[in-house]
Amino acid sequence: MTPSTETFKSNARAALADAKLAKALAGLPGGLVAQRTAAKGRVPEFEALRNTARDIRDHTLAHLDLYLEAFAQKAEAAGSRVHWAETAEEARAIIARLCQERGARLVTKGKSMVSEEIALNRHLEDLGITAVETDLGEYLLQIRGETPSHIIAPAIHLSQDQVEADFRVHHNHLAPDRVLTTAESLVAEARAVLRERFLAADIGITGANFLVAETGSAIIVTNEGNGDLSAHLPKTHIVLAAIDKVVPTLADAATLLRVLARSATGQDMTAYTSLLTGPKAPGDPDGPAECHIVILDNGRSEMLKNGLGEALRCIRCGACLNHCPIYNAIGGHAYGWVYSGPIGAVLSPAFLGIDAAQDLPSASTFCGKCEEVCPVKIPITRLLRGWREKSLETGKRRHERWLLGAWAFFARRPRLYHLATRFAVATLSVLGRPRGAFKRLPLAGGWTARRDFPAPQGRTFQQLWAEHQRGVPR
Amino acid sequence: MSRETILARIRSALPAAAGRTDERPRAVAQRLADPPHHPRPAFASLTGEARHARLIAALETQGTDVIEVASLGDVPAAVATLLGRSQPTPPRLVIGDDARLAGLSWEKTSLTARPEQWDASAPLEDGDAALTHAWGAVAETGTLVLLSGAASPASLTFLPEFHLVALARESIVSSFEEAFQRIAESRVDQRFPRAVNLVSGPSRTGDIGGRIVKGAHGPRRLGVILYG
Repeated sequence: MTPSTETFKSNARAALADAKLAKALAGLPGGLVAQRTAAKGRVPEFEALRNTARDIRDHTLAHLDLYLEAFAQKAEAAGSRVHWAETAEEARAIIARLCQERGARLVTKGKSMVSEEIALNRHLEDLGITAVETDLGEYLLQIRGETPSHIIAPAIHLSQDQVEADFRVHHNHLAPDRVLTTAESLVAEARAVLRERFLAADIGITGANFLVAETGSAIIVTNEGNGDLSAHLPKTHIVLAAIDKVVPTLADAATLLRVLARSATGQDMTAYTSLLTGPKAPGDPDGPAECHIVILDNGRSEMLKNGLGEALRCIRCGACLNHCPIYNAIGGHAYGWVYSGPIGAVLSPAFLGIDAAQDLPSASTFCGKCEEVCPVKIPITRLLRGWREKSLETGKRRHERWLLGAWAFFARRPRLYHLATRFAVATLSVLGRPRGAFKRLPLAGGWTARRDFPAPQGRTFQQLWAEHQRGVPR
Repeated sequence: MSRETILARIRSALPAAAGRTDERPRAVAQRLADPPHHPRPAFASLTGEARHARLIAALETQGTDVIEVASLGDVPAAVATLLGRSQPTPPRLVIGDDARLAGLSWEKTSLTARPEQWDASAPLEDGDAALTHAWGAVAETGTLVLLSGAASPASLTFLPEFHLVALARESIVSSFEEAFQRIAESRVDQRFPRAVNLVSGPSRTGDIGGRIVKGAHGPRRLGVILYG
């Protein structure tokens, strides 16, 4: 997808004015947030699990090269083919070649944020290969030509009415007078339409939640079962996963699974968690004849180098989005790229460059709720602060640096500071006396756009304090 | 080679990888050979009746139908009961190629259609029911463990409308760690089957208006017959 991170401010403004979006987002606190709280409440040891999960991720990242090598070796021993891709282009080329070599015309896809990251569908489509998204939310986005607005609930911005309207347009081979007034009827229709696709697909492409070095397995977690149907039915299964998905052992995966679903949807366990190891074995009645695993870097090793390793702990549960006051107000699309919410504000500048995403690190009140709920304790506000500093050093936000420099000049010279504030306050006090407040003030447009700025009463706080100390009655 | 470039980049990003030390490879080899024992919730270490109760409660919370019977021979009657509760009644019951299920007698049940052996070349129709035998179940979250292969092909776990699972009481384990370890131990060279499917409830989605609807792509209903 083409990023629109550069125009975050206007994206956010448009999102705030969108009544439909506001209505769709209003359910978040009562839904996913409340369910996570309940799920956590059922596990007295949750805090210990989070600490362990964090330590597992840190240990893995500190030995990432070795675990990736171990994973690749085990996966190949199990009969999978492992491919390595430095960039999005390389990953797209590898997958396209695998599809073309097999004469594939139809591909079913499990939900994969990495595939969104590398814009795989468009590339396949350009080559004449039909790629069908099968996660219901992703399917809705595909027929609407939209991108995900949430990591785990990609179509959270859509209402049931919108889905009905889209199905009537897109599924025009079905009876026009059919009844589609319930969520159940819409799900049943999508199930029937996509079932045909699953059975006809030449290749299935999925992401992976984890790659297990101990066994060479990919772990796929879904509630719908679409990842499994994509993985089990077609003759070829391609797993696309980034380097940060590796975990050492199944014991480590067990701990991460205990915090993943609880943090994401508040389920104790997602409906389907599948441990896939190699292709169909002799004697197996079903399963793919070939299994390919594409391991993608796409800038993650750079993140590791540039002090952003902690962001690579992320297991994509989406809890930081659900709990973020900014995300709750503007939704995911305003963030302008694949990953939204607090973690998106950390990741997008790393993938796209800070110049292209300079306002994203400011999309936070620093309330810290994201860190409080993160199952692997990513220090999101610290990472965002780091990006804020970088964005002030470069590019279009340099003027803010000059303004801060000017303020610092006065702040370091108390006498000059007092003199200047005394002058400013006295001037504003005289100018504002007739109305008692200002409707407009230079350099304070952000304030006066929404409310009046009260006129000062004539003396600065420092002066009032000095009088108070001398015992002057007010 | 992209492989070498990626690994070299990662190494250059890790200060500890700079020196000529064999400490890191040793730490990795050690962890892989002897996986860590991480702290787990108390409910993942239950035994006996408490473990059994946890399993049943967790299955029911997910919306899975559970029937407990005394022995394997009672499974057909329980299957008939579960299918009878389903509206409309599934037209076909397909079973996996499992010795335990093959030996069952269906004559005395109220089922009109006899179970059919699954034929891999003929896909299930929407509306069909399938019966497979689980490898076991994890009590901590009420998770069924199904191994791909002739006895419980992945197709029968995901394609039917109604999935029925026979589960032996003795095969219940407390935790995921225990399940993974036991599966590895039971296999030649500890090699895992192509798919270990951990199933926790029927297929579901929340993608339309945030409401949970069952039967997104996989089974709309899940039934467990616990015997022994």
